[in-house]
Amino acid sequence: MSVIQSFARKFKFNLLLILPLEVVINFLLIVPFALAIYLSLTNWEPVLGRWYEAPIVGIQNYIDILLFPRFQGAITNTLVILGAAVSLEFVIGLALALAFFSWDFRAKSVFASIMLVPMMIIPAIAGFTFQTIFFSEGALNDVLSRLSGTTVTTDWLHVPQPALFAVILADVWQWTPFMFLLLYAGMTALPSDPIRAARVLGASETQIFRRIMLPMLKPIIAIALIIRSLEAFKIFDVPFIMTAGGPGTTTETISIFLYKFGIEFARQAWTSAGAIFIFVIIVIITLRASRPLLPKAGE
Amino acid sequence: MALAAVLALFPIFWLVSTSLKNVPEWFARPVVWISPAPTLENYAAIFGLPAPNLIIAGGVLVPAFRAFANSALVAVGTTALAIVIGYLAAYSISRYKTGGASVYFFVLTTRMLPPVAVLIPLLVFFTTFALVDSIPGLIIIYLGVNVGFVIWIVRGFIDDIPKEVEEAASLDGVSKWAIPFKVILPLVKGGLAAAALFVFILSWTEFGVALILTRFQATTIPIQLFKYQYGAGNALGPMAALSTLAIIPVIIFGYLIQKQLVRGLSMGAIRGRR
Repeated sequence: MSVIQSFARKFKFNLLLILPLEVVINFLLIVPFALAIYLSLTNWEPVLGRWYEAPIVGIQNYIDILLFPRFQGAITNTLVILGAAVSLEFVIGLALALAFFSWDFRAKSVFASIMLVPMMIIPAIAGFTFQTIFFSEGALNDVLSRLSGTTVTTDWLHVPQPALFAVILADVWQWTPFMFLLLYAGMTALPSDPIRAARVLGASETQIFRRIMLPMLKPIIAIALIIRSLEAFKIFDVPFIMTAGGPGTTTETISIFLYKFGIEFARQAWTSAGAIFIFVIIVIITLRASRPLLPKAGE
Repeated sequence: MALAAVLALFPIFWLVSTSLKNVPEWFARPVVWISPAPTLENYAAIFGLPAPNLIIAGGVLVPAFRAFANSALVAVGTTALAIVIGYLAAYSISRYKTGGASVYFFVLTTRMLPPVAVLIPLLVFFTTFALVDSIPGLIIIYLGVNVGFVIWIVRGFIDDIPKEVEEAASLDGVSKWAIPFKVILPLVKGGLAAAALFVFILSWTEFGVALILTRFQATTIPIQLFKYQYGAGNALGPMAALSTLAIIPVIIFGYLIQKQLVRGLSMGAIRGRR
């Protein structure tokens, strides 16, 4: 078999294997996305007729939605939730991972298994459960009542700041195990020689952690933070079930905003513009931050 | 450490406890932590069995049979397709470097895109092809969202197999077409199983897409839960019962893939312990 022949066959074979994937990605990602870009440039609404007959209005939708205070509010809320939740998850997860790594105690694997449970809970169900904890007759108020000796009846999810805090708490509950798991896996994979050498040379545990472990853990920390931030940016299920974005729009995230305006209020063109704007921003940020995620050239 | 374990488990205790409460205990003050006379009526009601003491604002509950069946169908269908398509693509990417870096970009994109961005235009298609409120419609979307996941995980496993294995097989006369199925497939069974369970869990529990794409026919479990909340006047007990039943398979599957979890969650970037 000549070189050219074998190359041609190899070429065909590998493309054939990847063909189903291409069909899926094109049908589900590229075509709809292209259509979304087109729609975002029109003023189409289903009640006004067919989408391909809608007049093109250019970037007007983008200008409108970016100047819309409620959209700006949704971005702010999402960033607040993302910032607070991801940093809490990281700090608690790191502390737990360190404790697991440095102490030897019995039933370690049992504890590890318990830690993983929140992650398995269906987000919609986590939202529902936390709703029943925070509502007027919920577990939180009972604990507060017993502690304070008075009857606390606040419906936490209907007060702006506490509602936002409750959403953050639910996210922290569910995803701290993720941080813990990744960081712990990273720590156990660290080479033990540098740590042992530093200990022999008289370094304190704090120094070992800050000067040796932390720098070596950097790629894993980056991955954990990026993945969590990406997911938190799309956060929908939990706040939607817990508060539906309320009270008012105080817990309305970007995804809830897009859902309400795109589906409930049927402002498709407008929402497409918002979604594409958000998507472009995420892609730019992620590509800059995700170098450790992508496979290296030599691999 | 013990505190962390208690905090991790508390909401689940609360959920299960709520699922066993009688109607007056749902909104009781002071709170009933564990019902003194636990009832199974909440469970009976979601399966359409008689529950005489379960009187709720929304009247009679719609049984959740259909939701369970739909969720199972959607999850199994998505998993089967995602594994087949994902495995073939992963093999091609791993062994022939098909697509180079752009494949990674696309796969990563599937995780970055706000679902609503593609759902609005997809609704246009789906209405045309009568895929709204149908099981195939949901499967198609979940496939697109999850297939990247399978590729990330499975590709790592295939990469770990030395090239010599295939060279030896082809010397033995195994054709190029048979190698991915007869030689490689048995070696990555573990990875495929983990990826399959992942996809199963993710599509069993998805809420946002299902909320947009289903009406009555294709209701899945999270949507049924949502309907009990708003359609049946906050039927707390049955909601908790439904939730408890829905998380059982997820927790079981979660433990089955515990070892592969790290690798899966980090999308293959961190090698889990084997």
